[in-house]
Amino acid sequence: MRFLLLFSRQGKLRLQKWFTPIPEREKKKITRDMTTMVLARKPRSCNFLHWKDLKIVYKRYASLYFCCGLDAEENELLALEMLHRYVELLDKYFGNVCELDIIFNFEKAYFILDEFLLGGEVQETSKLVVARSVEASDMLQEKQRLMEIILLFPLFFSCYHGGIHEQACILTTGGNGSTHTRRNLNDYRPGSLTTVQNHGVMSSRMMCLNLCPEAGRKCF
Amino acid sequence: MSDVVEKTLSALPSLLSLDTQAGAGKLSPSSKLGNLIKGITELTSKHEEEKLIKKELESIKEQVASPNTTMRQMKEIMVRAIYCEMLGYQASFSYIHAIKLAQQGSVLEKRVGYLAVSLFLNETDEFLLLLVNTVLKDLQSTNLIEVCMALTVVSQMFPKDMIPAILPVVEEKLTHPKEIIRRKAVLALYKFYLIAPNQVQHIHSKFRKALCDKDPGVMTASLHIYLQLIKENPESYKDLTGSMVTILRQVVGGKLPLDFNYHSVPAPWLQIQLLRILAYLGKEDQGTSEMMYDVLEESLRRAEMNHNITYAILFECVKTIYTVHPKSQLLEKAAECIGNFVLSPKINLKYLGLKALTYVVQQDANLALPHQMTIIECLDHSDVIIKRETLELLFRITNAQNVTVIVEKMLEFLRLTCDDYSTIDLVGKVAELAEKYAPDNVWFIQTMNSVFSLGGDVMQPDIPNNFLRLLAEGVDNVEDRQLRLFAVDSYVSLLQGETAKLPQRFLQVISWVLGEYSYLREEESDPGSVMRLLARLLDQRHTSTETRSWVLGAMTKLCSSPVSVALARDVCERYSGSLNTVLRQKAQELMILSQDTKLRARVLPAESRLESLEVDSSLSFLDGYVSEALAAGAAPYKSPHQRQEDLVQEKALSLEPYGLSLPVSLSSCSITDRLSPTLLSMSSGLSGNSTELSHQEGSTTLKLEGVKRVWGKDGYLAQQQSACETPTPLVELPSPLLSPQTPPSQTQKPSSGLEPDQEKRQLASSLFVGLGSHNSVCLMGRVETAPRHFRRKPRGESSSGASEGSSDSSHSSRSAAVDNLLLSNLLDSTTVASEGGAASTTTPQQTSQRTLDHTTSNGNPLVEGTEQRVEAGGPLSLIRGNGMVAVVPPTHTQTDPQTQQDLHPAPALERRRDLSLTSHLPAELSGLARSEFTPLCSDQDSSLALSACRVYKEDALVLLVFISNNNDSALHQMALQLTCKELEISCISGSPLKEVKGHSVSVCLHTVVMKRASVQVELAGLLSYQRPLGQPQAAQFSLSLSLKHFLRPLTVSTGDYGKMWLSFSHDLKQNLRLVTTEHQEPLTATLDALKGKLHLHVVDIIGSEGIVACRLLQGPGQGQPCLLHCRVHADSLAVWLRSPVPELPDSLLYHCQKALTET
Repeated sequence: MRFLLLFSRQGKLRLQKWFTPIPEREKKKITRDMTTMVLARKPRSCNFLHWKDLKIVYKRYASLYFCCGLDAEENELLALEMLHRYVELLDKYFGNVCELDIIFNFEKAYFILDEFLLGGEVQETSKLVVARSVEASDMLQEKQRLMEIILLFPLFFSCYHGGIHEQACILTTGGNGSTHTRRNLNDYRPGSLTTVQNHGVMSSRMMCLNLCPEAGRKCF
Repeated sequence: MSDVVEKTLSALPSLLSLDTQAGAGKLSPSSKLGNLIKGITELTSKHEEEKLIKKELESIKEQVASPNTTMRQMKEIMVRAIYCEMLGYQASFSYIHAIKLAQQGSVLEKRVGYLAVSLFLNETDEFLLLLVNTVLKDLQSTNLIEVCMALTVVSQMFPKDMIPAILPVVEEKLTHPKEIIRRKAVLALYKFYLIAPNQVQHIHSKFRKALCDKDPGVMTASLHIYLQLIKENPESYKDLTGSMVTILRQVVGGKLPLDFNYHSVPAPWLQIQLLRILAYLGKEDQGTSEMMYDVLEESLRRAEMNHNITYAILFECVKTIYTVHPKSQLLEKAAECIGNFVLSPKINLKYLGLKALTYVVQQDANLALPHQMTIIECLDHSDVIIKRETLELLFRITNAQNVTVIVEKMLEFLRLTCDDYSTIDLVGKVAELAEKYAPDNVWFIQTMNSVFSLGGDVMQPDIPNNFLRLLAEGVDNVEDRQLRLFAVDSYVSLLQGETAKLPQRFLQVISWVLGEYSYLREEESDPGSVMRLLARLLDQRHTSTETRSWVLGAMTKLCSSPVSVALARDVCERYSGSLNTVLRQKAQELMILSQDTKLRARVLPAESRLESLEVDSSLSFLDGYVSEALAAGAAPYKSPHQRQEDLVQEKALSLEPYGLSLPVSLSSCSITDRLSPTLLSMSSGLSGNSTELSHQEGSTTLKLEGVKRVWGKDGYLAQQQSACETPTPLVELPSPLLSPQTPPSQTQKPSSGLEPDQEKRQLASSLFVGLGSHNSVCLMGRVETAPRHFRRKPRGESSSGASEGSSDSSHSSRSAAVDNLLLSNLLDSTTVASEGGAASTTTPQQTSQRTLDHTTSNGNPLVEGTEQRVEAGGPLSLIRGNGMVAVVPPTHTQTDPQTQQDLHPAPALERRRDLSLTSHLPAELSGLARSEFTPLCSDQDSSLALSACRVYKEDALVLLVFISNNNDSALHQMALQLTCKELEISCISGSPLKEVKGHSVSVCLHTVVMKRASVQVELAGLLSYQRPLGQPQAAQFSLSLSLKHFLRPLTVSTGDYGKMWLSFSHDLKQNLRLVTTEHQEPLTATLDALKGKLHLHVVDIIGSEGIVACRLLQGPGQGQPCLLHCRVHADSLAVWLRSPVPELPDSLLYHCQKALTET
């Protein structure tokens, strides 16, 4: 594969990956041509196009177009499925992925892509494995954050550990030293308030941080 | 506390999934990226966005420059910079910080750093060099994630030159215990293979190991490499067929872990990869193909689920089945499969079905027959892409009977499309079909007219060229006259209409044809009419300058009648003042020729325009001029190709401006002469010692070389029958509904008697006529039965014979100095040189079909111009096969005079030997500075002589050992050993030397670099060989090499010099003798003397001080610098040397002393 582009219905580029060295000017031209060509396509028409000597395979997912350029001998249908697998991976990582997820976390989208494709070739097709290797790197980030919290609130942490269910964990700290925790990770919803029942010393109403305004969340 | 940490860490995975859900956390207003993005979405105009981004970039710039920014902040900043770049704004100031982040950040920051680097930089970017060290460090890290990141970035983009630096480490990773690392390493090597195949040549055995890896993922990755390798050279990997088949069988059989399934299809990516490999392996190889029939059949059978991915596999399977040696049973199944594609309601599958059909009809056009109706439907599909693909398919099944319908369809499509690329492609196809299958003159000209007006100025230039050649080439018989006359008539009527819309190319074609052939119609119309039309064309504003010069050229040919002459005078007056020199030139020509009828008749004879022209492609008539110019000190001519090569070689150190290239405007001025424009290709192929000026002059005498077209699209073209053959009458169009010849499958279609259906049927019948084995015109015979009067006419042998003759004669006239005995040998060597593609001979990049002819016929005059002498008459071919002897291509020998100047007055004998050895210098080295030939040793009866020569290459010293065998018998089992512990010697002449035939010379090439600087080293050599019927013998020799052979100038700026000076630790001071000459400053003279003798680079001379730099060769891409600071002190030169290595100043000083005492 030569390149992969993600762009919105308005033609805004959301992600670009070039697998072969292409001069900057040419990249701009390809991007421009791709957006105009693909956006001009009617719905329900063929997903394959030609551009110079390249095959172009594109697919629209909600408001986002995924578009890739292939060499002449590559298999178009397979590329289509590859795009689909990438969407599945994004979906697994972000959980019901939407365009905003990719806009705001485009670097994550790049990391996932890097685990999935290497040098233009599919390196790992298993959803699980890709997710695992992306998470392995993410894990480090969390470890770092957690260590900071532990150092900040040693006292709280010990009670917390004694009292609360093992699954619970700290999300982040507020300005005045109050700690927001959340209990069951699976029923987390952004913006919701969760009261955590404690058996130990701490017993207070805890709040989950509003991490994602509901309004901005459009789902596929 | 520690247990707390541990407990918490155990909760990490869940925390992670939380974080991923909260991934949009960056949306929080506090995040700067969030702010930026929000800011942008709120904006309404592009202008405002620009302003905002500018502000943002300013603040980023400020922050990255601040020393207080932590790496953590830097990571966040980098993400914003990436975002700005993605929006199309340059953030180049952040590139260096991205590299820094990758270098210094912790794992996570590193990851962002690497990401930014891979997005910002290109493979050629110099910044990447800064990354090499970081990558190397990370590759060796114990942290798996770091290794992964490094491998990812390496396979993403890596400078080609730096691959050797990290290759060993990546190679090492092939045995890493973690499969993910192994897999990434394999893919990285794959990437290396793609950008620099030579550098990974030595690890092919490791690829095999990767193929046999116990982890399927690693094996899959290695298949990428194998696909590439097998594609390039299937023969050497036939032994892998068995393994590939086994793997595929296992995959298809579902033996892989479930992890590899994709929508419950086992490893589709792997399957397709394997199928593609099998296709390459089995192509045109029955034995290999037989091994894979079973597994192909199984693949076809298993892929039955109705999902895109299974169709992808099926498609690949069909392609493989049709690529490998055919097996009828499989072909049937595959054809059935194609049917499923074509008939599918899914548009993507339909598209692929058409594609598959296009592929298979090349083997069996009948396969298209069952799908006629679908094809017709697709022809009117609303999706252009489908239409386009259908035309592609029709193009493949075109024959003499359906050509009109198919071409009509293609032109219809062309009228609607606005995509340049498909226009170019399709126009070319129409032109090809028209030329090949045209039923009659009128149709042909009309079709070509549409081609020219639709193809406009984007089409390939060889379409008009071929067309004009076709018009020009015919023998003057009735039919050709008709064709020309019809063309002229149609153009006249075109020009009488609106010409504003006609493309320039078309106008050029029109004016050429009118200029050439208007006389054919003149009896019936008034003589000035064509002239007036052309003049009108000149007046129009949209006519380009190039077209105008074509028009003027045409007018020059036409101005015979008084009316025309008057018109011509008008035109001349207007254009003789033109700012464009070409137009002015043309106008002058027109002026003079229109007034001087005699001259015109001589320069532009009306009849027999092609036959009598002769070309002296070596431009021998200019030899006198050239030798005068050379004597006056002009540089010898180098072909553009050679100039380019020189530039490449000198790239690192060249300070000269780029050489002149051929003036482009030439093409437009020579093009309108009374010659077919195709001749242009010849005029660009000039070489030899002609200068650029001669190019212009020579172009008027170029001659059309007879080129036979032997191979066509359908294979070997039989000799043209008599040219007056009447067009084969069209085979009566069988109406499918009545005729028994209708393919049976057609009746299977729903035959509701609706009218549109009827129409389609008719279309089908006209489209598919000529297909089907039971048809009157059978497929296989198609090539022969097609009326072929439009195929390019082969020029008779007469013209090529004439050229042979002319070159022979020019040879004899100019070859006084050359032994006739040597002629055959020289000829031989020319062909050798041109076959080997060593350098441009006469025709650089013309169509290969033509070149061979030209080189053999035109090549010899060039050879004769040189002083080349081949010592012995023995055939060279055998040694050449060994890759040992490279014959100097004739164009290179111009360096001879220079090298000869270097020679001291030598005895004639030695001179001759040198000359003879010169001819054995490999082409790539012949342009470089070299030493004279030093005899090494020879045995008693001088049947074997060894000589050596040093060639000073930019990055190494190349030592050539010439083994001249003066005996009749060949030398066998040759082995040459060079040993010296201070030197690093590597053989570069490819395959080891085995034997030298009698009376021939072969060359061994070695690159030599010094391990440690020393004044002089002694190189010991041993050549062992065996004569037939003799004992093994050995010849010993020794050769001393001095430090100065390994010195090269080091081009640095004064500023860099200063920096380097401070960083070097080893220094030495000494006073040296000053050289005094009459017309130079003592300092300059001394430094010049040093520069000349020791290859130093004089960086700067300021007053009484001079700074000089050089480097000592040390392996590829390496070198030890040495800097000299010289100052005139009283009447001696105080020299201060500095270098990072202790030995270098010592030895260099010795040589400086020696060099100065010698002068």
